[in-house]
Amino acid sequence: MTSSIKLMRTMIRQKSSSVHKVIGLQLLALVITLIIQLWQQGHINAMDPVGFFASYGMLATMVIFVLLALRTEHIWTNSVFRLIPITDTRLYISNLLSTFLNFVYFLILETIITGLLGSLDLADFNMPNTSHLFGYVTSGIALIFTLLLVGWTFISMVHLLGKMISTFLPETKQGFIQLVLYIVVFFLLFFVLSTIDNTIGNYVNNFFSPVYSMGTLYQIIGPLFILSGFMLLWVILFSLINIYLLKYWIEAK
Amino acid sequence: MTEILSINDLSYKRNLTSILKQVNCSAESGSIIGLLGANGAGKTTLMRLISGAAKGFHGEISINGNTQDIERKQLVSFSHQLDGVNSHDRMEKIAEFYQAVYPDFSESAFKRLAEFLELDLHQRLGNLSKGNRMKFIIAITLSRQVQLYLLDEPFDGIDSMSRKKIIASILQWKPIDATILISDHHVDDVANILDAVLIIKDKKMVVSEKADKIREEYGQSIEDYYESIYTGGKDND
Repeated sequence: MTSSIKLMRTMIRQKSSSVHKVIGLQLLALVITLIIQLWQQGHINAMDPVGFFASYGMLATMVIFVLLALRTEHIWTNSVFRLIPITDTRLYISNLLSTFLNFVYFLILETIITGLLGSLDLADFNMPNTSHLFGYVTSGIALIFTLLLVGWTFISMVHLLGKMISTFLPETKQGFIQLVLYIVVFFLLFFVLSTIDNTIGNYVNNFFSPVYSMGTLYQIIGPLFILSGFMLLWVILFSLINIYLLKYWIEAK
Repeated sequence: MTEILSINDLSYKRNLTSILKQVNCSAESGSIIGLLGANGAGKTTLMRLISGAAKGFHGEISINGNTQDIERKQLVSFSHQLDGVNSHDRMEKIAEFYQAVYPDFSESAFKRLAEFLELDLHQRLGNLSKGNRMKFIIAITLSRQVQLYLLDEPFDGIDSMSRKKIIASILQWKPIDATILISDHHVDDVANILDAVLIIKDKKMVVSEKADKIREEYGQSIEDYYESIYTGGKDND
């Protein structure tokens, strides 16, 4: 049987080309913008490169999220991957984890480049209250990462459910039928999940309202971790459904 | 000879259409078997089911006694493995990928096969002619060291020189105890190298016969025998 580690390493390498392309385009956009600014104003301020890079970074983050989602979805129906002697569960985990690690790799590259562009004027940099800094950073990162995973696993669920349902429909106009199915499944799932989420959300709000009313910012750290925990439960639920669909319904093209 | 492949009461339906109905057949290890049938008869679907690429069938597919998807994937090398490869990739890079993810992929066998088939591995997949693409597919498929090889229409639309090279590579590089199932609808391409034939017609396996028996006992060539089966009833094409 194929080793999960080897497969994941291969997937990481393949998907990292998307990361490099997006970062490359972001740098190209930065250079073009700086040239235009130099042309128009005759000078560049010290903070301009990092300012422009950071603003393009928002767009780059959205683009990389979508590109990685596309590459993840491509694998579910690709013979090259589906015929590899590995269980569907391991294939699923390798695919999702390699997508996630590539996003982390993207964030690391963004941070390094931002640092290299000389964004931090350390003389003027005031360290925030360090006693809670670790808590803010880790709870924020945990929430961002679990939200990303919810996004990717939800997209996979819509894709795989649409594929499964389409096998019970006539072959004619499959492209159109699948598009309609994806939209219908997306909105149905969105409605069902938001209803469930609101119920859980109300419960969580009630539970934490005394904490919010205390009005101290650091007390948000706990609720953020709890929220990340709930998000992680969604990721697990979506993943279980996705693995079931892969195992019994989704064919390689 | 031992039985490598056994299919019992296999039925498969997709998009409200029945594609295979109660298929029963078996194959002996070490043989080259022709899976014959008209276009749309269900040859590719049967191979996809055997390889584990297609799901949701009724019945049983067993390779060397193993019926689970994951076990079958370990024992089968299917020529459709290259379907999702990026056409901008160079052949050497694709081979590296196969070496990384298939533990049974032999790099040395691949290099020898590629040399025999006169492939320039620096070329991109998308730039290959149909014949060279098929040669590459054969090289990748046969470089896995498995018990059952599934070659789906390996001679479809390619010139006679490439066809001869591919047939020679199949004969030369097939491990002695491995079985090769070749699907084709131009029977004359493969007739001379077959040990047995399976014929699919009207979604069913209508013939499972040894090639020698057809030639000696029935006194017919494989081509004539195949045509007699197809003209003797309703065509599913």
